[in-house]
Amino acid sequence: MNWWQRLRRREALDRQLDAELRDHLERQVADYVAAGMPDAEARRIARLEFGGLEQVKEHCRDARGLRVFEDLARDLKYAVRTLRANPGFTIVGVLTLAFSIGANAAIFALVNSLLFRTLPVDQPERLVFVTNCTGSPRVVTSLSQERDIFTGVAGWMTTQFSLGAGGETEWVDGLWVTPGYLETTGVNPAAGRTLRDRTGGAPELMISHSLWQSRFGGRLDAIGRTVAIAGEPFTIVGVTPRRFTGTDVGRTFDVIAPLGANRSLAFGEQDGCGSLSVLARLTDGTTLDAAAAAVRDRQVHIRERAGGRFLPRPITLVSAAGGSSDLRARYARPLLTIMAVAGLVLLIGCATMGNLLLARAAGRRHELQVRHALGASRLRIARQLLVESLMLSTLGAAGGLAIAWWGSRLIVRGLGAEDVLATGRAEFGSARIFLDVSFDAHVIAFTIAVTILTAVLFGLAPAIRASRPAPRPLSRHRHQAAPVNGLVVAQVGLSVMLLVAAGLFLRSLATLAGVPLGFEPERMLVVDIATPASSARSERRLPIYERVRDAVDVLPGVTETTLSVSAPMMGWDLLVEVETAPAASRDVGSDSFANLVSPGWFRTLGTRLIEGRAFSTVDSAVAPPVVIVNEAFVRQFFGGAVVDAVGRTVTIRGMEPDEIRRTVVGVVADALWSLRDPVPPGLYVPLAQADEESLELRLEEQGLTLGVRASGETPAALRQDVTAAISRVDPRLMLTYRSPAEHIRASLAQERVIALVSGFFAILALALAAVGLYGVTACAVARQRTEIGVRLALGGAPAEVMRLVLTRVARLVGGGALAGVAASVWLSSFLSALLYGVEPRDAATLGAAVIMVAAVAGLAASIPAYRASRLNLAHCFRFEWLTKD
Amino acid sequence: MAPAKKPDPKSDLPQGTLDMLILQIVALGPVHGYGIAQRLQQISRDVLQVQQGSLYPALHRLENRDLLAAEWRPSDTGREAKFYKLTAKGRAQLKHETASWARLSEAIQLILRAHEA
Repeated sequence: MNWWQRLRRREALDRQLDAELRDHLERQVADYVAAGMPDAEARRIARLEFGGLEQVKEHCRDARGLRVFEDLARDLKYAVRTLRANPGFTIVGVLTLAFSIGANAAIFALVNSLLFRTLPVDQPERLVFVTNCTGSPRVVTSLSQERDIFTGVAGWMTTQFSLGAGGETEWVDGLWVTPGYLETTGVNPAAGRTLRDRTGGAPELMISHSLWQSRFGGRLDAIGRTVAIAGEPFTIVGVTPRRFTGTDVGRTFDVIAPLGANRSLAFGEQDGCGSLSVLARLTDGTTLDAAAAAVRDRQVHIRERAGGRFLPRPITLVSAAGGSSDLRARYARPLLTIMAVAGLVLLIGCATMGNLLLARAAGRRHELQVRHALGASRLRIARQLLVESLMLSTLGAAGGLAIAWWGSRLIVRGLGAEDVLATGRAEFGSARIFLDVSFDAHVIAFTIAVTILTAVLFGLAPAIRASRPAPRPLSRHRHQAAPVNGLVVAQVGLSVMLLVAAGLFLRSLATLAGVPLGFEPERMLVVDIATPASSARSERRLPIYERVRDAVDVLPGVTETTLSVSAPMMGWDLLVEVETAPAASRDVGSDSFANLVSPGWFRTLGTRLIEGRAFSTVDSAVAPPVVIVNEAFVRQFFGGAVVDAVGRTVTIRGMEPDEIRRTVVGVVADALWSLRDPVPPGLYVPLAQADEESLELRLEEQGLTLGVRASGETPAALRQDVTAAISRVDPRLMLTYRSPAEHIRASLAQERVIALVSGFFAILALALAAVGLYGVTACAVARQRTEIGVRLALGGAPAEVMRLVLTRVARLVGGGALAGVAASVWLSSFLSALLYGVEPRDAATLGAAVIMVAAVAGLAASIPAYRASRLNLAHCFRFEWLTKD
Repeated sequence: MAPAKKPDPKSDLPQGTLDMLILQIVALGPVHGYGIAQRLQQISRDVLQVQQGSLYPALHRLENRDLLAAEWRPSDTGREAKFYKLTAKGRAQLKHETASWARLSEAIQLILRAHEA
């Protein structure tokens, strides 16, 4: 019989064992009776001689060698029954653990993704970044000739492409790469092939797996299709694998195009362009150090081959196995700090669960004593209790993984939105943050380890204590109460701290959300319109835009339209120097932001005119030059007198070749361009009066923004009509839509994420403190049972008993709250950088946090206190008598 | 036999020898647990006290190690009883253990005699 059969035939084996032992006893009895003993006496003696029948059976079962499995199955069954019998305890326990473990897994998924993952490429350990190196294509070529060091060298740069030939276009993240980029990196295409060296014809490109899915539904016929980048046709030749998102961890790309494929798209002179990042693959068996030394030895050669103008500093090599990341530097410390907080919360969660189990063990004393009397060994009982803990923490881990999956994505989304703001106009510089937070082996292993560790941490102490053969009354362990109390004080303190932080972040968020914008983002649609790069240079672009505006203006549902160089909420990007007459005091500086706008701008945005007039068609190229300034401008340059401002003159430098003196015709309210920064001085100049040549150059590079105010509630519904109207003017125009209202919501994402994460930890800590207090109070009540019983028996009022119990709790909570407030005040300076419009030592927040903790603590402690005041006296004394040893 | 009164002085079985004794008894022919207990006591003339508490776990252990085979068959009482018999592996083990026991006791005797001398 093998072990599996033995395991499956357990019940049959048990029956046989029973029969065998019974047979033994019967024979013994028969022998004694034959020797002349009375039947009853023979039976008694036989049983006595045999010893404990159940113990012998247990030992026989042990001899089967499968006890571990058998008992595990039984323990599991028993644990399920116990947990189901105490749904309240189980739910509290599982939730506590789910959130504690989930928080850790979520943060770890982020940490793992950002810090620990190696690139999903072939042999990532052989990949190196070549740094301190002027990254030009000629340097890359020169380096790649060192064939005994590198099997391949490639350069790349990130950029943003506008995808689409006309009509609505989409900005996508792109990579310009030198030939052999994918081969060097060690990436095989998921479909199609990699880029070839150019041999004429339409330039080639590869698309990412996600673009392939979203644009082409993952169909194979996408390969061979032509897509337009900035209006230029490219042929799709391949798709990169799903998990490869480039070598910049935290970033992603949609399109890979060969550098220099198209002259109008390549930046600057090819040789002179030093902005490539360079990576190389080491030959098999070459170590990083050996390669670095060899490269430095041959630097002179490499330099000469590259044309001699580059590589002034010694080239260095850095391992690229984990990729590079600017996010790593930015977020590593905050993430590890949060990880530490999560770990601390987990530890406190474990301790809380331990307390809870200890409190419960008091109630299970009888059960465990009976089990011991029936032949269960100490180890067996301890194991049974540990299995219960493990089951709790496994259930918790399952819930925790779900929480982690959702939480880590939420955080990444929040960070992504934040980054768009950091780069100002979304289309310049790589904007999207992309972190692969799918659960890999690391995350799963981490979660399993945390789960087991958790179970052992919170289950071990109660298991050992409860498995004592004859548990003495808990009153003998009075000296052990001290660390438990200390724990509660720490829990309360931590809850206060986290609540204070969460409160500050929430108030920050509320303040930001309530900041007056100075314009009305609702019912507004913003369209960036770009002309194709190959449009004839001789053709003036401004008239096209004016025709576009006229076409959209007459659409039903559109109340106002306006053209501008900068779009609202996307940051000013035109910085000018101004001189006012009479001159402002020198020390205020002379910088102002500027925007070129068409008439109707202020009406379209809903920005209030405070003084003077708005622009109109009167302000043409031949009319006197005019300017409108904002309140911040008046404050800075005119000493704040709005009334006096109109009629003054402003000379603007840096916007156009000539200095032009403009007369202020109006003052408008400050309109926000970024939520967090104060409004800078700003001035508005009519588009019609801009210098033609500079404006045309700008239009060619960046296009114009069309603002549309809709009469309906849903401006997005106008998109189709607007696109159609613009395409009728010129089908080659490329459009990108944005919604200022959505942008404002997105720009609050970081605050929302911080408020969410800190709120989450605060509530978790508060819940843990509540559960912990409940456990400690219940324990104390159990210990003082007799005392309470005597008080009640002598006529003490139940209210008095409650007061007795609660006073103790109040001392613990008071101490904890005091510590929490002190720590919050001490740590407040760390928070101030993340806060907006609220003091880090805000008294109201501190007070609210303390009150909240006190209320929850009071509630948690009053349950056992109330129970104590309603003690059944008879039960109480009988119980005490039973457990006297 | 006076079961309630324990023979005094009685000797504890050296560690590991119970298995050998059981194998030796079973080697004489198929026998049930009670029979083994009886014979252990008879052979050792009541000097060795083997508790049933350790006999049955030992039997089950030996069965699991495939040194003994068990079979349920009708017995003199009319009920089925579990009879143990030696397997080939058990026979080899018995031979091995007897030999090593002989060596051990001889060595101990030698030492004791040397001491006397």
